[in-house]
Order: sequence, then C-alpha cells, then structure tokens
Amino acid sequence: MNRYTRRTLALEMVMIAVGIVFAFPVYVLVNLAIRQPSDTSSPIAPTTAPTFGNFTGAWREAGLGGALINSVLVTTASVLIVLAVSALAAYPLARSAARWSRGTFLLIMLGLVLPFQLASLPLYQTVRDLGLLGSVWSLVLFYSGLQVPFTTFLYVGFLRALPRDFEEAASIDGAGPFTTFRYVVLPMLKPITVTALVLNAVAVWNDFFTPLLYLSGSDQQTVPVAVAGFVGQFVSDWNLIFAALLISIVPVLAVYLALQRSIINGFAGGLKG
Amino acid sequence: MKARRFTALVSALTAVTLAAACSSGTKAGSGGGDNKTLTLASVDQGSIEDVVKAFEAANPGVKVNFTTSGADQYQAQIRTQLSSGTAPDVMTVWPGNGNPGATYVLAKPGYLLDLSDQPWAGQLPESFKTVAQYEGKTYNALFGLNGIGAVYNDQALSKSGLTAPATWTELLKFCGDAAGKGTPAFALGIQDNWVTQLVLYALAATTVFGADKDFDAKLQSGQATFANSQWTTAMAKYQEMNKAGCFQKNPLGTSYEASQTLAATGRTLGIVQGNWIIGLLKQKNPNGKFTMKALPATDTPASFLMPAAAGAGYGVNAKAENKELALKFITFIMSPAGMKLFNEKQGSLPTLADAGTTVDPGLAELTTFVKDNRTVPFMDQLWPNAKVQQSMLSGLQEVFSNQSTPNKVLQDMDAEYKKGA
Amino acid sequence: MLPALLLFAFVVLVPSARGIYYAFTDWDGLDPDFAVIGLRNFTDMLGDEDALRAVWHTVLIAVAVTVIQNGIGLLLALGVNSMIKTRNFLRVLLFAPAVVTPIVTAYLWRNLLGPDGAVNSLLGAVGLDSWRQDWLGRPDLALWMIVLVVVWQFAGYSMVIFLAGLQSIPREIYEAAAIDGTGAVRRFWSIVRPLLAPAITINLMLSIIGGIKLFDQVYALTGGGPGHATDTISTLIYKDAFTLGEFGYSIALAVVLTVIVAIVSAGQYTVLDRNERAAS
Repeated sequence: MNRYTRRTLALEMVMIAVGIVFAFPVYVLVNLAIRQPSDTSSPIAPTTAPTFGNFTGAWREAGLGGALINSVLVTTASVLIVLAVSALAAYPLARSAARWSRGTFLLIMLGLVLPFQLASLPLYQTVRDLGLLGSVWSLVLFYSGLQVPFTTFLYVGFLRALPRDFEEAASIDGAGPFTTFRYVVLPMLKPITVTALVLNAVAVWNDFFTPLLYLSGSDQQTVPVAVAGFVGQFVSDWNLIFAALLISIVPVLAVYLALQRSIINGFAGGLKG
Repeated sequence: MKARRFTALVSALTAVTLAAACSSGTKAGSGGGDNKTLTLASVDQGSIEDVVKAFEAANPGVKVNFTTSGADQYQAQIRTQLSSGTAPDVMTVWPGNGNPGATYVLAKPGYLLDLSDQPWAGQLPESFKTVAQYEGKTYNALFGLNGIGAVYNDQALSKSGLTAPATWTELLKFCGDAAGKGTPAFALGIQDNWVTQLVLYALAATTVFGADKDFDAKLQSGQATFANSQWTTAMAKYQEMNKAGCFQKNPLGTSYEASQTLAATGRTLGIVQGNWIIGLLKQKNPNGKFTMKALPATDTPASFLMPAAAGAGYGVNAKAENKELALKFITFIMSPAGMKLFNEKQGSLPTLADAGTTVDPGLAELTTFVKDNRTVPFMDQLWPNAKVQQSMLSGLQEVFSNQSTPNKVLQDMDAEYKKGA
Repeated sequence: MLPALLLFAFVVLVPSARGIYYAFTDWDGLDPDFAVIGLRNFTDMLGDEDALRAVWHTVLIAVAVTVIQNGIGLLLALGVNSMIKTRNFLRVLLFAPAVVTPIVTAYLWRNLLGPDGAVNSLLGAVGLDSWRQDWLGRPDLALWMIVLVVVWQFAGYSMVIFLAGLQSIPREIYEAAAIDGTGAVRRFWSIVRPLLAPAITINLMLSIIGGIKLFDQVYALTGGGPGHATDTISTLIYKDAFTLGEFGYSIALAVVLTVIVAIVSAGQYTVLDRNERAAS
C-alpha cells in the first residue's frame, strides 16, 4: 500500500500534466507582463527581451501602492472585528437551548441567503448620513456586519461539537460565563478561528463591488477596484494590464505560500464545523 | 494570555476606527466650505486633466477635486450619488435622452442647475440646443461635436493599392478586394456592445434621414416605426457588408481596444468609428495618417449624410456646494481657451464658432459636412428611454451571432419606444 | 452577542428590509416621485424574455459548476492523497487560484480566450488550428467559458475539502479492505464515499450557492453578452438598476434571487443532512 509502484509513477505523470494545465494561465500572465508592448509574437512564445518597465508603469498609473495599503487596512480591521463579535455571539447561541437562542440563530442565518443588492442602496444612504462615504472605514463597517452570519455559523457549528466538560468544571469552580468564555472556551476555538480568519480575509480582500460603490467619487481605492479601473482606462495595453494584475496577485500569493499549511487547513476547516 | 492580547487589539482597533470615522466625516462635509474647492466627476479621461490644470492656473488658490471613470461605472455611480445627495458640483452629462446620464433624464427630476442665463447658452447652434435643453431651459454645457464615418489608415490603403470607396457599390467591391489581399476593409470590435451601433448609424444617416428628414418627428407622433421604415434598409446593408467580408474575423470576440490595434497597425485598412478614434489610433501608431470619410450607403454621393452630434458635456449639480465656482468652471469650458483645450485633446470639433480650435486635417470631410448642414444627430439622443438603445445594442450582437434577426431587433426597439419615458 | 447582532442588523437586516420595499415601486433610482405598484414588477418578470433567460443561465451555471468543479476536485483530491512525490507541491499549486481575486482571474481569462489569445495560439501550436474559436464571442460557447473559468479557479478549493475528508478516514479501514481483496473502485464506493459525506455536503453547498450568486466573473468576462447569451440574474440586476434606470424592477429580481438561494440551500441542507446522518 505504501510502496511507490509503477502505477504510482503513472499517476504522478498524470497529475503533473494536470498541474501544468492549471498553471498555463499563470505562465501566460507572467510571460506577457514582462514583454515589451512592441513585441507582437505569439502570447505563448517565451518572451525573449524581458522588461520590467510594465511593472513600474502599472504601479505608477494604477495607484496600486495606496490601494494595497487600503486593502490591508480594510481586511485586517474587518476580520478582527468580525471574529471578535462573532465568537462572542456564537457562544451563547451554541450553548443556550432557549427558544430565543434558536430564533436569533435562524435570523442571523438569514443573512447567508440575502443578496447584497437588496441592501446596497439603503445602506449607501446610511453610510452617507454617517459621513463615511469615500472612506475605507465604511468598508470596515460593512464587512464587519456582512460577514457576521457566515462567521457565527462556523463558530456555532464548532462549539456545538465541542464537549462541555471543561466549561462545566470551570463553572463548578465558581467562574462566571465571561471568565469561562475567556479562559476556557476561547483557547479551544483556535482551529476554527484560523479557518474563519482565512475565509473572511480572502472574501474581504477579493470583494469588488462594494468598494466600487462606497469609494466612488473619492481617491480611495482597494486593490480590485484599482485593477478594474486600470483595465477600463488602459484597455489598449495588455502588457501593462497584465503587469498590474500580477502586482495585485503577488501579495496574496506571497502570504499564501508563506502560510500555505495554515491556509489550506483553514479552508478545509469549515468541514469540521 | 493570548485571549487578552486579542481583546486588547480589537478594542484598540475599534478606537482607531471611530477616531478615523470622525475625522473623515468632517473632511467629507467641509468640501465647499472655503469656496475654493470644486468637486468634479468626469468620463473624459485623458483630456479633463489638462482642462483642470488650466482652470486652476487661471484661478489661483482654487483646487479641483476630480475623479474620472469609464461611462458604465460613471452612470452607475452618478445615479446613486444624485439620489443620495452626494454628487459632485460639476459632472459629465450626456446630450438629449436615452441614456441614464443624459440631460433629460437628470434634468426632469430637478438634479441639474438651469444654465439658460449663461452667455453661451443662446449661441449654441439649433441642433445642439435641442439636446442641451429640457423643456426650453439649458442644462448642459456641450463643448464638442463628434461624427461617425469610415476612418482609413492612409499608409495601409496606399500599400493595398486600393482607393477609398465613394459609393455603395464601390464599397462592396472594396471590401471584397481588401479581404482578398488579407487585409479586411474595416476593424469591428463589437465585444464591447456600444460599438455595434456605429456602422448602423453611419448607414442610417443616409438611408433613413436622407429619405425622410422628419423621420424622428414621425416616430414620436407614432406615424412611423423602426420595423416599417428605412431602418430595415440600414440593417440589411449592415448585414450585406458583413457578408461581403468588410470586417475582420470574429468581431464578437474583438474588443474596442483590439479593433483600434487592427486599424492602427494596418491589419485592416480602416475602421468605422467616431472621430475620437483618430487620436487613439495615433497613440498606437504615431507615424500613421488617418482620414475620415462618410461611409457610402447609396450610389449617389450627393445624398450622403453623416451622423454628427454633440459629445458628452458638463452640467452643474442643482445642489452644488459651490455654485459660483461651478459656474466659473462651466464658463471656462465654454470659453475659446477651454474649448480649444478640450477639443484638440479629444479630437472633436468645437460647438461654438469662434473657438480657435485646430482641427485634425483628417477630419476635413466631417467639417465640411457640418458646415453644409449635412449631418444627423446620433439617433439615440432623442429616443424616450435607455431601453431602446440597449435592445438595439444587444440585439445587434445577437444578429451577429445568429441568435436574432434584424427584423426582430427593430420590432423590439419599437416595443421599447412605445413604452415611452 | 449584542455587538454582532447590532452590526448585522445595521448592515444587513435593516437595509435589506428597506430595500425590499422598492421591489413594489416603479422607482427609477433617481426621481423622488415614484409610485407603489404592488406586484407588477413580479408579474412583468413572467413576460420578460431576458429575465427568464437569465434565470435559466443562472441555473445552468450553478449546476454545471457544481458538478464539474466537484468532480474534478474529487479526482484531484484522490490524486494528491496518494504516494506521488509531487503531492505537496501539487496541493499548493492547484489550490492557489482559489485565493486570487475573481475579477483579476476573469480579466486574465478574457485575454486568454480572445481571438488572438493564448488558448487559440496554443491550439495552433499543437496543430489543432481547426479548433480555434472565438470562445467568448460565440453565444453557444461563452456560457461554458464562464463555467471553465470558475472551475479552474475553485476546483482546488473543492480538492482541499475533499482531501481533508479523505485524510480523516483512518488508514486501517483502507488496509483492512485492501487485505480483504476489495477492488479500488468498490473500495471507494462502499468505504470512502460514505465517510466523505460531510465533505460532499460542504462542497455542494459552497459551489451551488456561489454559482447562483455569480457576478464578478460574468461582469468581467462577457458583461452578459454576446446579446444576452450569458446574462445571469445578478448581471441583470446590475444592468436594470444602473444602465436602464429600472431600480424597482431590479430589486424585484434580487428578491427572486433571494428566494431561489433560500429554497436551494434549505432543500440541499435537508437532503444532505439526512444522507450524512444515514451514512455515519
């Protein structure tokens, strides 16, 4: 069973071929991003005279520096807030058998099916009344609320599967519910927190439409908005656009490669929830 | 231990959030308080920058906060902003009706400031007044004029040994010859659906309005329909051009951008587009020479008309925070200096006579047509709602992909037209 | 619990409730004068060919993505759960697209699938010139190209979830079956599949709801075209609200989308939950 047989070798070959097919678009992306605009050879032929001019051009024109800072800020702040409030909310929801608890849970789950289009205009007007339009904090507020249902769902599922023994021991020792949550439950939540963190971070970072609406008319942008605006403006120059796409992907891929194990486990973690 | 640090971090972040929220709140609210800041939203990427610079130079101490975006995104944003009271002081407004950012659409609910008492408002030629005004009042500072025709790449044309066709019969032969030489006559990039209408407009100008100058009025009064008019001829000729090989392969997979590359580099002999294309083609091929001619739609050149109409202009927000400065900006756009700057950068013709604008030599024929009053406004500018044009645009894509027929498209347009405003 | 509820109510519940109101009006998104028109937006929908086609496309995309993405994801998971030497490398590689911004991958693919794009160049290079296509310009192909792009991006996601499921199966169970002389296919069907039930549940939920709500990829790849050949409910909501100024109608479409998602999720949850219980 654990030996490397001839069949394993065949499987290895097939899987490598599949890997090449999956990586093909990325090859073209890099290949065209380093190509001079005057070079009109086939997009799959390796670029013979590479240039980094596209990257400097794209960086300057697309305002990617500011966009990256905004994206990091929005993602970090929203994810931290949503994790904190959702974990706190999930605990009573998972532990209480009262009718209000079940009702509240269902209400929050309703958020999983509501498409954002329903809320977009009224929310826009609320954000305006708060004076937050054009500010990245409007996005932090938005995602902090938007991601509550999904995150709470993850935590509740995880908590329901978690034995109550420790908590009961703690409360026998005279600890109140808050102390119990903080010192007993919270440490046990680590695996699901990694999952929630990864999934929320990816969702927030990649969102395109909300920032388009809430930041429009300002000079603030997030990475997806900056990229989309850049594509619209420089439609004529795919080498430049590919360089911009590549720049926008690199930070995400760097984090992914650095933390691949946690991230992959994080994505898979929803399974245990 | 870890938990405590986490809680601390969250509360710290919340505090930061609130602080920043307050500060940015005041910033957003104080935009026009000092009478020195103008907010502006525009779709004129590539030309508005210079205009703003010149305006700021002419008015020391004034700062213009402007944003630019593509037409699609802009139209989505401006509606949300106007209905929520967050729109900028000055904004791009399209002439006439029929698109979600057009004069009638925005003026009707009262979102635009009446500009009738501005000196230029009375000087606009009659054909522009109809699309700059709503119920007799002027709302739109229209500075530029655009036409649609066949734009030829002069080098490619002479290399092919062919000459630009002067009649419909010559056009079809020209297409066949050009295709035979491996360089199709015209680039067509209808992956972007707005491009689908240009050839049709160029043909309809002559076939529809050459035959009946008052067609629009008849359409409005219900005496005429698209499906029972010369529009069917224009549609048929569009199809005939396609069959004659006038366009390169795979037009539906070709974007506006890709079509520019084809025409600029001589892989096609030309392109049927608006005059703004000349500037874009020259960006791609700085040594190129491009000439615009009327697209022949019949065999009697004397009957040719060209579609020519005001391009997008600027309107003032009725609730502008800084009306005085907004009007100053509008005055600047309509002054000879502003108009020259805008139109030379965009490759368009000025709407007012004495603007001193240098017009690209490739546009000589269009200039003559305008002077001789042989132009027709873009057809959609007087249609009652945006859906007429939208069903034409997606309908034409469907015709090109054999999902629909020209007749069905025209019938759909009639149905939408009848729904009115 | 209160902060979460407040945030959620403030950002999702209350605005959604206020938004739904517009579904019963003829508001154009601009004019402060508008009328309440009851259910007319919904009855109009039944006669709107574009809307009906968009619903059909939405269902088609959701089903195709779900089936293909999970099929490929499962095969990939089985592949990298083997003894091959490149298994760790391949896991990282195949999953990578899932973390990249969808709008970015869609722009990339729009270029790859263009008439002179890399896909056609590749076909030409391997002598399959006759296979070259205008991939996004042909109405019969464009929809499948959207499916392709989504599957390319998220097959690795399905793989990772299946992989976690496979790895939670104790090795002894496999080995016992192998000693019994059970064939590979039977082994998979009768032993592995039931134990994968939770992974299947999660994967189906994620891909079908993601497929129904799909917007970014369609917006960037085809914009719903050519014609209306790839319009989905989400792109139609966008066009009706912003390009055509039929805000009330657009919200009515969003309500329909909500109902579809709710029904599918509830149905799926019930069925799969039952299977999962039966399997475990």
